[in-house]
Amino acid sequence: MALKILFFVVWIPVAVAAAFVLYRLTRRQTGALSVALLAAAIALAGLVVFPRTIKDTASAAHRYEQLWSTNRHRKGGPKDCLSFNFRTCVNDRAWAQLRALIPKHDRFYLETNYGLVHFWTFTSLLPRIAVTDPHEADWVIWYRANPKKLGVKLGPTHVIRHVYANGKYSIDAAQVLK
Amino acid sequence: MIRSLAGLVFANAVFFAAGAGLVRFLGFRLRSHPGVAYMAGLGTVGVVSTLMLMAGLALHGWQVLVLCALLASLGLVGRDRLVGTSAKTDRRVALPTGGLLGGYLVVLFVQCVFQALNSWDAWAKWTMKARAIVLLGGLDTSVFANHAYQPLVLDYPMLIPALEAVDFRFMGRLDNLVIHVQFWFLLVGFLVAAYELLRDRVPQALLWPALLVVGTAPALADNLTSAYGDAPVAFFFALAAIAGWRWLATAERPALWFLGLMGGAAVATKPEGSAFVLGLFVVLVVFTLVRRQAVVPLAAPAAWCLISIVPWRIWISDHGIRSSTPIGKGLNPSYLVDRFDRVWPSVRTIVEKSFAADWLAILPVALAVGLLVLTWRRWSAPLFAGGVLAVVFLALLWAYWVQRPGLHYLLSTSGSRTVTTLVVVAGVFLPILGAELLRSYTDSRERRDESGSPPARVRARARP
Repeated sequence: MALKILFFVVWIPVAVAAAFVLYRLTRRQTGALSVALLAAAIALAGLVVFPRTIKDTASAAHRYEQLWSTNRHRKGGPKDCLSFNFRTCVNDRAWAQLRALIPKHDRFYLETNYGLVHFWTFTSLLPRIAVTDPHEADWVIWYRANPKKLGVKLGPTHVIRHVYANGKYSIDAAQVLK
Repeated sequence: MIRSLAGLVFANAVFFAAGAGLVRFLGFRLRSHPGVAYMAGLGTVGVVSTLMLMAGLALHGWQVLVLCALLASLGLVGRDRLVGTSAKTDRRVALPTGGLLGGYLVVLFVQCVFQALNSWDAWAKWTMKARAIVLLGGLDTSVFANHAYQPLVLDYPMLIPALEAVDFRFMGRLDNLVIHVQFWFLLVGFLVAAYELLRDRVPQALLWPALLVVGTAPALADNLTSAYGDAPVAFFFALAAIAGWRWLATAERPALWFLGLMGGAAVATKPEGSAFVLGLFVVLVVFTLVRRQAVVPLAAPAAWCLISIVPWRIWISDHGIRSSTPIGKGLNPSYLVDRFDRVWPSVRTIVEKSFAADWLAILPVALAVGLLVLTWRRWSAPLFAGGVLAVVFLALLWAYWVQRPGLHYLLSTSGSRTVTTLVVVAGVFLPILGAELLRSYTDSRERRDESGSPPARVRARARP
């Protein structure tokens, strides 16, 4: 940690020196003080934060590579992390089971107030099509909701566990009986 | 992953081939303008792909190959004069600056290869639409005109989803990770094209640092890797603005065509792209009239921009899709007055976000240099740059003013990314303003020499 701090502290004079070299070069080429100062200022803005930028980008790359390699061997299948902080990760297997259950191009109605599950289901179940009216649906899917109030007759419920990588909730689906 | 990456690289090679033929046809020398060729190819294939989707095509690999082959074959049409450049790269500046930029881009490439699709709007909207195109075989109304999917901003133009769908086709699978590399290619293409358009007009001691600071700004990397449309629209629009400035300065027709292609790509990427490009044309018309140049040449690029968006607006109107930006109401004075309380928070957020430290002070430096150049009484470049920046600022302000969702939600979720265009444009105009500073210095020195020379001669003669 101390070494890192030392590096960033030492880097600043390096950046200033590099900007000064550019200043001298530009001054010699153009003769204009204002242009030389501008070139040095722009270069300095980029150079001062450059190691930090590289470090942040490299650590992001490392984090995502780790997620990718963990997913390859993860017990229970890969997880999809749907937020920047990696805290909201869902089990891909839950939607894979829904895909196996619901035929392609069938229509489904989704009952939930949870936006992430709502939109991830839309994305993951393609080419199965969402509808706004449960009476037009071939299937009803619900997450932390009660499907009885929808007023459609449903077949046996398929309980699919677990939605979140670190949660206990299930997503349920049933065929609409017509 | 390797297969996906190979497919994506192949797709981009095909875009480049299309652009190579296109820019040669339009009058650029390919050897000196490969970046311009890539961006022209990508933008044109993107725009034509959205038209193909509306025509009922599914963007199968062979369809894209035929399109790109047609565009590439335009390069076979003979041209007497091609715009090249005699400007040599200044290695003393290019090697260290380009080396740093290249090193950063390598690290960013690795991030893009492994980047998870974890930004909400990307997995729920942008890439979701690309997946729908591939899985449903085109612009299927069961999704794209279905009210259940209305929260996914179905009215947004389709260039990014269409390009991603083409990438998925060539990958042979829906790879949510590798798709981010497309945005990396866009960044590289933008930087190279900006360099090619500016290198013979501005000192390289200004150009290379400006490209470094724009290319490595942490806020740009955040926007780019989120796989949203904000960075692409900023790249397309910034290139259109440079091409417009170049046309004003040199009267080169190829620059005008490139302005049209990039303007078309910008309007086909995001709704605010239309407002940006409309404003750019207004600025160009004003400048041509003031300089007593002909306005007529602007008609062809303007027409291409209209072709890029009007069919889409007709398609969404025909299918009863509600626009997320109520354009009609947005021009109604009483509607605007009723929502006047949205103006000041929007102004404050746009200024705060575009001046944020993650943008490396690009905008404040550009504004300061512009003002400095104005004090030297050189009007053209600072007024053009200021006009373009004002257009972007006002377009963003108008969008926040009239949009339906709550302002707090809008500003908190989008404020930091919608300013991308503002800062990127300021960044690419920095060397242009610096070059103007140099011209004003040279002019004043010449004037000083002229006024100072007779007495000097007199003094010389007076010496024994």
